[in-house]
Amino acid sequence: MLLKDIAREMLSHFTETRDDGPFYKLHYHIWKNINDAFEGKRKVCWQGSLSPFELPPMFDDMINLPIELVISNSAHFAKNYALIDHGSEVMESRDVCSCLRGVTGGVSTGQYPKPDVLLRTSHFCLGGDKIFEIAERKYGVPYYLVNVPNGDIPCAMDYVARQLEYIFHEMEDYLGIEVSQSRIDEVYGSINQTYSNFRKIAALMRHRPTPAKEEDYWSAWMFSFLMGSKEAVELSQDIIDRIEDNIEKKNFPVPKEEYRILLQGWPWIENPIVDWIRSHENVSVIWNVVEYNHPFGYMDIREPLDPKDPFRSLAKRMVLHFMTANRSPESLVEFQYLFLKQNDFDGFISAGTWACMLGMGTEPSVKNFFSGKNYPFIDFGLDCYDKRNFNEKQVKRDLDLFINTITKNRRVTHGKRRC
Amino acid sequence: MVRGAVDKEVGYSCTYVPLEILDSFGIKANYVIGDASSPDRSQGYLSQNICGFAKAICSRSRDQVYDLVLTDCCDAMVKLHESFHLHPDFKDDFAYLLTVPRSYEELDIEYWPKALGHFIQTLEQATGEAFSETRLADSIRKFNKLRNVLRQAERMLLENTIWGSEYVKLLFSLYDAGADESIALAEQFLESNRDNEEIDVEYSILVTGSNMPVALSLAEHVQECDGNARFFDNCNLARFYGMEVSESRSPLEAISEAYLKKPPCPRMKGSTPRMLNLIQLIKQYELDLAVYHTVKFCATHIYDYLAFRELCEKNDIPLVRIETNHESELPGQMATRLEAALEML
Repeated sequence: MLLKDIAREMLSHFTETRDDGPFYKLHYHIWKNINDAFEGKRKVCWQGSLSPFELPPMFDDMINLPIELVISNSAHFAKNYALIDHGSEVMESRDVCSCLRGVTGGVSTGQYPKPDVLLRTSHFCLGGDKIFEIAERKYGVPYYLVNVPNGDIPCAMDYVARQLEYIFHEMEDYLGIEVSQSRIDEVYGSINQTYSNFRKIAALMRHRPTPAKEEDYWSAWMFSFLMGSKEAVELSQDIIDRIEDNIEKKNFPVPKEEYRILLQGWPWIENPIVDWIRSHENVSVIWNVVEYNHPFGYMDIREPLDPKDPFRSLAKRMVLHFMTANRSPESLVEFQYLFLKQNDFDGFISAGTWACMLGMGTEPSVKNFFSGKNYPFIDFGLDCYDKRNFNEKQVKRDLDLFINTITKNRRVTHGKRRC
Repeated sequence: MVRGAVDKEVGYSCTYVPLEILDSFGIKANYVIGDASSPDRSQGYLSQNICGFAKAICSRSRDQVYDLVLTDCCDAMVKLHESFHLHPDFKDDFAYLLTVPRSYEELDIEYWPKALGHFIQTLEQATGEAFSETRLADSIRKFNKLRNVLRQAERMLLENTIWGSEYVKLLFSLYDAGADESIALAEQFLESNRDNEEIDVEYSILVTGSNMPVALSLAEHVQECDGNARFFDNCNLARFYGMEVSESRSPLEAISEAYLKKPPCPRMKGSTPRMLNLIQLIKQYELDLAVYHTVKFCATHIYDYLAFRELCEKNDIPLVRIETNHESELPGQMATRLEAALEML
């Protein structure tokens, strides 16, 4: 099945389900964008995670197309296998993660919508960057790479701001679009409003029992790619309304919640963890990515973007992101730990993807960190993009054992939650 | 970024680490290559699906309690650095992650001296010694001399007057030798091979790709097959000396320009110029086969291979890919693959 057929099928599925909640509505918008890109309705900017996704909407509402996201979202219904398998063939290797192999399959067969420009940063997934180089050669379009150094290096902010300004003007020239100040005001205004909504969502999220379904929180992650659009503002407001309504009416998805667990990784709608959650009446799981580009990750450090100083304020957002600042692993893991404490979680599941260096590279050290804090933590070598690569029964059994660990941990701490 | 005080000997892992700066502090920099055949001590720190090079550095730094200077050359190295900071076992070790721009535009070359300035400040704190620009200028001259001698050895190899295995042995012997001894060893090598005649072989090959502890084993194997491995474009071999730092400019600016503009390694955006140079060498020296080496789980080189394969196809150059776990002995399956490729020529 070709990617554009998958996109059409996914759009049709989410058109039918978009009234089921923000998660479905968000997917509808994402797949609509992808279909628009296939139909050439708008210009397309291929993006990677942590990219300056604030820039493309300024250029005639250019579509931010996160090519990895297309593969991961296709995993929801296991639509991505052909692309993953093709990627393995092209690369003569299975030794990179399924996501990269899927993207490689899509790019090498020309199945993605043709990009007008390519935009990435230097500090997230080198494999992804190399795929963009393949695309640059294949499509003959410019590939802009923003080097994002450690935050503690003098002039890092200045360096990033200068690159952004340079890229911005290069894009203006290449695309033949002159971006007006009022368009910058409009895009940054929309983004600032969306971030403000995220902060509200983060505050509401602390309520126990958990006031919304796991997928509502997960939706927030993917807003990055709709940033700058009115849909992002509306959808984030939808989530707030939904959570506030649930709290007011005491309509909690898991009323007898005993355990609240943070799941980090890339879940899809049909997977063993979700099946397992739904078969337990006392467990809430919040899907989240406390690393990478999750908006929640920005909340403590993000200042509103300043449309009067667009490049410096965007540079600040990029350099001070906790994944970047000092590139200090303490900051990442400690951020995760703080996040768990602030949000009253009882345990942490890290569902990494096999062969993903960024997600799994230091897993034994991370495990050691949480073990030192006596905090329930489990890492799964799941393959979040390809269900064929793990055993579902084993995952469910491990999850049961994990709950036992949390219970035991509570006994040790005399019933008090560790957080 | 820094734990404890740095020893007068550190390990480094990337050709973008400016050795001149370490040398100017009187620090001997040893190339930490490691070997997947040695006991793996990385298990408690790193995922098993990380490349063998990162695991080998981790193991060796455990064995010899090395302080480390790493770069953000790839995700595995960033993660290795993370594990040094995360795990209490490393709490007294010095581990610095030097950020190196991935492009080499004017903005990057202008910026990097500032990042190097941070590296220097860190070394000042860790060693308790003040940085001296004069000492750095001396170190630049010293490393230029070393690189120049090594380029002469490379020329001998390309002209087929020395064996690939001899060249690799020379390079391997420099990893722990320090700059002065390296110059002496390399000069001695040149001297003893100066009058060699051209070697008569059936096949000549070019090797490129990932870091290669297996280079010696491969070169010897090629030799047994009546061939000579005549160029090694790898981090632990030719990529180390591919630059010349200007001695007439401000030292940090000169280092920035020379390192960032050296033939771009696969971690850089746009490494095509390096590949075109390899194609040119293959044509100029009439080499028969290109061998691309990848280390398992090294995404950088797996992708670089795709671009190189495309160029080889375009230029009708036979290419074979071999894969290792970063061990020093050529695995049997790879030896067979190489033999088969040579027989096909």
